[in-house]
Amino acid sequence: MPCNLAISITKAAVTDAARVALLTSEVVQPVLTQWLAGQVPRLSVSAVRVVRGGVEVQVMEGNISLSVSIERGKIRIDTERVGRAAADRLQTQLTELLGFIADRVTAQRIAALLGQFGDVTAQSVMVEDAGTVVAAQVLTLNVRR
Amino acid sequence: MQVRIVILPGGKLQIFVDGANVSFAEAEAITQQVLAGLPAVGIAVDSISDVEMHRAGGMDHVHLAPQIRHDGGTR
Repeated sequence: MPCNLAISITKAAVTDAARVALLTSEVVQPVLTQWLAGQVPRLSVSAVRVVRGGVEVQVMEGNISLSVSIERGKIRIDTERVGRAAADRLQTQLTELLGFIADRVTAQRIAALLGQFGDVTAQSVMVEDAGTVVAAQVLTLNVRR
Repeated sequence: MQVRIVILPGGKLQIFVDGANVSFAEAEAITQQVLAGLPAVGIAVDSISDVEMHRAGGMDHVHLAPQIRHDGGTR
């Protein structure tokens, strides 16, 4: 979309490897705990714990329990006691959640970098990207000159 | 000078530079400085485009929704 409201524009993409590396246990654990707590009321979740560099959680749904582990962006779900459809649904939700976490940490890291140049503000916004409205984060740096 | 970085889902970045009395050369220089600093904070990037002169049109890019300009006004 043509527009004349900035001097320059540049695009880049964070590599997949870098995004996965951002998903440390310390980063994933609190967000995963909060997300699980907000799920349907009948879902019972034991404490999310850090294991072997990843996180592991036992989820109880009715009388069914399943084990979920996440390590460096890889999700493993014990499907022995839960149907494939439920496991796939959870896998999809967790994949989206991990993507959200990676984007949030990306913004935090870039904000730290920009802070070396001046004052930085962060906003969560909705943007139009190629005709689609998506959630995004905007960091604004006012450079001291 | 104002640098605005939009972080889109999936790790896509769009970097805008603007400001009164800021030349394109200055905008390009600060953009390159920011890009060069990303690996030091654990953000490796690829698919880096050229720094484009935006006021001449430029590549497709995001706009704040609904129809909000980069400077925060509405159109």
